[in-house]
Amino acid sequence: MRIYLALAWKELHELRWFWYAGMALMVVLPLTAELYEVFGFAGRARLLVNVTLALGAAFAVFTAVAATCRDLGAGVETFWRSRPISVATYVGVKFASGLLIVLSVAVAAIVFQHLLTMALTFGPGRGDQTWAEPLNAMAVQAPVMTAMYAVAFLLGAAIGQAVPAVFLALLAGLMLYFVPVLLPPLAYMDVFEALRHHGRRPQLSPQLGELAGTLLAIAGVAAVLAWLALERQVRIAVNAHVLGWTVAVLLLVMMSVAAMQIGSNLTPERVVPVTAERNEVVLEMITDGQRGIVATVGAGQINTQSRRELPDHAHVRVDIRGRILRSIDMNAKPAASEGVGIDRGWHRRTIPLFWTPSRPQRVTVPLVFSMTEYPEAEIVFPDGLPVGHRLLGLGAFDLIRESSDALVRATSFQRLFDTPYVFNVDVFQRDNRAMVFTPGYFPHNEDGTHHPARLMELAINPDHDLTSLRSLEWPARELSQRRSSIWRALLNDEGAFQLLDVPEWDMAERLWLTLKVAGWDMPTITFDEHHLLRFTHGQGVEVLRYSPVARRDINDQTGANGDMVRFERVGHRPPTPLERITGGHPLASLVHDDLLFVIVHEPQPGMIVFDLREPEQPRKLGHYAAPGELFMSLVATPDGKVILAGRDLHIFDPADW
Amino acid sequence: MIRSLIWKEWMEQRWWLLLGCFIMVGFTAIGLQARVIEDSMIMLMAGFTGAVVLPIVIAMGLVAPEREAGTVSTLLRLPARPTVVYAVKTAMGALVVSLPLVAAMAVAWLMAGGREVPGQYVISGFLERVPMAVVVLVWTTTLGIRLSTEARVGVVGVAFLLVCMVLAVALLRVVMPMSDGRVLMFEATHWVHDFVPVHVIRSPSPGVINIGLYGWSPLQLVIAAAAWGVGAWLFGKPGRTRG
Repeated sequence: MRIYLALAWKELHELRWFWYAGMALMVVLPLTAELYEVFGFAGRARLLVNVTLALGAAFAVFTAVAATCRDLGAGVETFWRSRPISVATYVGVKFASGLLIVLSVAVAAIVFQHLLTMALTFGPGRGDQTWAEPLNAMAVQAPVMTAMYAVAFLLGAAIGQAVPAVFLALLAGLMLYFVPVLLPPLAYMDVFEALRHHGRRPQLSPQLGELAGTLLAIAGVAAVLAWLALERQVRIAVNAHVLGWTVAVLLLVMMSVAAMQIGSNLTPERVVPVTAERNEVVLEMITDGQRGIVATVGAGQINTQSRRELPDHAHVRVDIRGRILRSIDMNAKPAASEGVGIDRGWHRRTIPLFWTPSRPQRVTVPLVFSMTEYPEAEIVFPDGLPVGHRLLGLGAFDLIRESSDALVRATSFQRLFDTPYVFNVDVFQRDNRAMVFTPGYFPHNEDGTHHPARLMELAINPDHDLTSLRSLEWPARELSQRRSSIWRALLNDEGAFQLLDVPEWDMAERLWLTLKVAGWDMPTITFDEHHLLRFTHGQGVEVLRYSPVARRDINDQTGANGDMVRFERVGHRPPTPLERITGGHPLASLVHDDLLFVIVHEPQPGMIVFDLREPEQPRKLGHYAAPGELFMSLVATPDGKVILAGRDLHIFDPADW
Repeated sequence: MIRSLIWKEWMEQRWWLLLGCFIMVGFTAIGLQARVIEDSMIMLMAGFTGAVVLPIVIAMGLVAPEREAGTVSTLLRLPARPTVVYAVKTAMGALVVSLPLVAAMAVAWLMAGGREVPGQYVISGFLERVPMAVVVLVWTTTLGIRLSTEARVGVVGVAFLLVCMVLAVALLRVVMPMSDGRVLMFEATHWVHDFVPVHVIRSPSPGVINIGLYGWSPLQLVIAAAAWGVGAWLFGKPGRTRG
């Protein structure tokens, strides 16, 4: 025992300066965090992690290498090998002493940080400060520090030179932290995710046990190998060549692995320029594959102060913001003058375009006018309609114009609603029909007026007149309750909810309408004939199968047979850790030939494609990125191609994949 | 004798050339293929690696290993003037830092020329880094000429860069505009160009993110040539080395 104590005293005495430096650092940094807090930066919680993850890892590396390399100089090594102690004893005590230094500093850092946070937290948040977070941080970081220390100890023992050993150990630390992020099979070793996941919850989950077990196993193996290296006097010569090639190869391999996950591997068949200005982007498009119409936004130089007139029924003066309709020819770049300016406000919603290839120069666009939405507008209607009423206009645009500042021509207007309180009017398109939906309103106090939610279904005839097909109403309160059931069902991945009752519509159409009026973010969720697809943040996707619910399964109070659909989660493609970090919020989606196309803006503007041919096992087919682009629209052409529309049209042929 | 010196330097430096080309070409190709960030940023990062990091690493291996191994005295006893020996060393170093940049330029031009960045700016962007890399190489070699370990030369090189950056940032004029809202731009005042080898300046390309590295000007090359002269003189001058 005296030998052990003597060796431990020697090691701790030699490493005491590391302990002093580490403790000083760990005291200074939390104080710095508090200073950040004073100046308004929310850096405290992050620093708690960063102190021990980044600097703590470096501290472990330096301590381990110092502990080993100091005793491997020519004279010192000869001396200690001549002592009457075994190499295992010598190495064991050295390893344990250094590890004690590292862990004591790491634990002290976390404890000090937490005590400081508790001492300086005032007000209602004071009671929220518990020991769960620091204990969780220790549970994750103690194995991490141990593994880092052990690997550095091994490298120091095998190399014997401090500089290359530190260099390679830091590289190994980077691998320990980032390889699990890059390699999905090692995701359970993702330290950052473990810290995030176990943040404030006091728990020791199986995942945490798996992570800690693996890291401690790595540490154990490294310690045994270090002992073998010293026992057999193995010494690896590391020169600049070895260091240089090791660093280069490892970094490029890691970069390649990352690129394979989030990098671009899809190539467009061709890219067709469509906008005239750099800032102009396509909002909406419709095409037959050869020709088409696009609605663009962003060309801000057109008629910013011009007065426009609606010659048939109304006069509207608006602040024109350069919304443009363009005819497109897939085989040629359109002329910049082929455009018609229309008013602003349209960018807030999807614009249905009604267009037929047989009349390629004519496009019809539904317009909703009201003083509420267009505060700058002065609307004078000949028939004396009071201001504030919502009016649906049908803009018929002739694309053959002499210049781009042609007049907006509205060929038909209809009075939508009699009541002045109508907001969030939404116009959307289904096949060749225009549908106008208002969500309705019910006040919380009983004295207010209830306004039902309404759906108008309109047909547009070749003369660009509106023909009302049907008008439906639902009590706003009922619709609100229905929305809640929809959200509950979808967020729980299972369950059932009632569809809106629209006679003669099939289940898919009714589901689409029900989701639409429920206010669901349609880019996030879409569906095909049998499946509902939900895009999750970080480039993951969930597949839910929907089916009608039989009468015997339906509670009498919920609806009739066939009015409800049941959801069942059949497949899930979780995002990889790297995808979770880089994100991928959807802007538009499209299902076409069992492929799901999603426009995302992270990590770069582009498109992700998922293969849904096996709904139980959806997989990511690829990713296309086009930095500098701004994609807003995604359409499929009759010949099976998919067009990603932004500043240019990026045309893909999925048959090639 | 000069051919022998060139052969010796080539044998010693060729693996750095291979490694430099491997890193530069690999980084550029993977980055431009993946398109996780803009092409201009990939080219900027490749240019920074080739024009700043690589020259320091190469400078570390020019003279210090000779001092560490004790072969400097042998070199100085050869029937060639010390200036010639030093010139061969720096010329080989310049070649080793230049070719990876040219290789990366070729890859960038082939893969992404005209895609986001016009082709001529891809070429000019990389070629502008070549004199910058040579300038950094010359300064680092000169400042570390009396040091006897590679690590110390590396530290001197990094310190030199930091001083340049501090000088450049301290004398920068911040330019906010960018009507299209793309980028905050920093621009060095004119006279700083000629005295600070490495700093940040507006790129001439109109379609590219307007942050770039600028490292040379005619006066800067003259100053670097003078620094090289000092290095050559110190290389041949007997005296106590440090470290």
